[in-house]
Amino acid sequence: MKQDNEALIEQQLIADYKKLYRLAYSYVHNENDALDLVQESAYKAIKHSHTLKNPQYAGTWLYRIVINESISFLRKRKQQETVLYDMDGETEDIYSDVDLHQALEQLEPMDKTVIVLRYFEGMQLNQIAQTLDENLSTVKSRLYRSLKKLRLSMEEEGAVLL
Amino acid sequence: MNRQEQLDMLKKEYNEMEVPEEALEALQRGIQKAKQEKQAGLSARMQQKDNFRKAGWQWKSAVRVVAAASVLALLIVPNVNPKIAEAVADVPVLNKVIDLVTIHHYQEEAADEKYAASVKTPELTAKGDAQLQSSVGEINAEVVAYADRMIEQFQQEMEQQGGVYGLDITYNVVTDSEEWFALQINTVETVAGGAETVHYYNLDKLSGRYVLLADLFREDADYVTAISENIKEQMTHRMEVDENVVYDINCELPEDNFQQIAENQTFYRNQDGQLVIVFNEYEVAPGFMGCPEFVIGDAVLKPLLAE
Repeated sequence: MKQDNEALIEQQLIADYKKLYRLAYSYVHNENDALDLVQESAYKAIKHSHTLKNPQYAGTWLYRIVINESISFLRKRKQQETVLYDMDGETEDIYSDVDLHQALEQLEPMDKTVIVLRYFEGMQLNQIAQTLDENLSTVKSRLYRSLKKLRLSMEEEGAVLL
Repeated sequence: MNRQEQLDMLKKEYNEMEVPEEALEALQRGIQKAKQEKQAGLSARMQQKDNFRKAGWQWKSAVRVVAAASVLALLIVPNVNPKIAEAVADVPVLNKVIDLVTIHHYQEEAADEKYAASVKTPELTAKGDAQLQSSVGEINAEVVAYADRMIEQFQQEMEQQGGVYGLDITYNVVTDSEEWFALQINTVETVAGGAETVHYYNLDKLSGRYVLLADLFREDADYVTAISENIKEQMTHRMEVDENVVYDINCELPEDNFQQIAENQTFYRNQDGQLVIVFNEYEVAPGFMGCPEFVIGDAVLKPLLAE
């Protein structure tokens, strides 16, 4: 039987569109690219709705699609930049705190993703593992590594990581 | 403003980020486009993908022809058809008790090079000893089940057209002595970052048994603590002599420290018969340390061993 989750995914997309946009924006830092990523992610989610096995995870599944799309977009852009200088003058983003923000941007995309999901989205570590389809210990070590690089205190994490 | 306050500020900015009206429109364009293509049944995209799949399948069939006999045996041998099992064991082997054939289990490479998988697994065959043969069958079945699981995961990633995903499974016989045989299955997954996983299968050639770590020790022996403590000492020592080496020990947060090995922690016995405890990437050290190994000395083990 091929019970498709298409309708469910569509609902989830519409309910979460702001979150999905913010997540995409956190990678590309400009509106046009973020909009493209939202469109492409929605397209892929519906197109491949049958690959969502557990409807319960529709939310994290959508996050994963956006994350994968964003990271592969960044990679393509980086390849292009090495060929010709990027002249499209993307709009400067508006984070006011350059210090930590720059450090965050210098992290490897997956490491940064863990920080964004943990602190900005307020996810628990097991949800992050679920979203990224990684095991808990990998997520933990990514988080530690990132916090160290960002020179952030880990005290608050103590309770969470136990 | 300290770092923690900066983080709170970034969080606030993230969550208060203005989302343009167009975001919902873009989302709905994506949804509509996908729905139309689905209804049209065979979109140009799908057709392309189908062709690609067909090509992939032909390639696979070619490989399967080469290894046809062994693949078949690999899939059927355990407990199902003793005749085939016998036939395989009858393949002439050299003086060694355990022999192995490479199975090109799976190979796929997407046209855009975003997805590539190469899965090579061994099929073990044993001669003579019935216990050894059944242990070998057990290991073969586990290896196949593992490879199938990884392949399925790979196919899902490809289906979903997410980010770059690579899968590479290889194997290696690390020990083949008079009394011991240790098979390593090495998995490298490339998912934006990449992670290495290693499995070992151990055969005691003398008893013919497929051995897990716990099997080595007396039932009442607290080998977990003894070995774990020894590993902690080794970690400390290695970090002292080489500043480039880092293990999860004396971490800022105590709960991040390596605590103890699992009851059936990955291990193998090396060619010299020494016990080697193995950890996966990230398990007890940062990723750049790879899969750390620790040889456990006889002094630690002697009082704990079975028999």
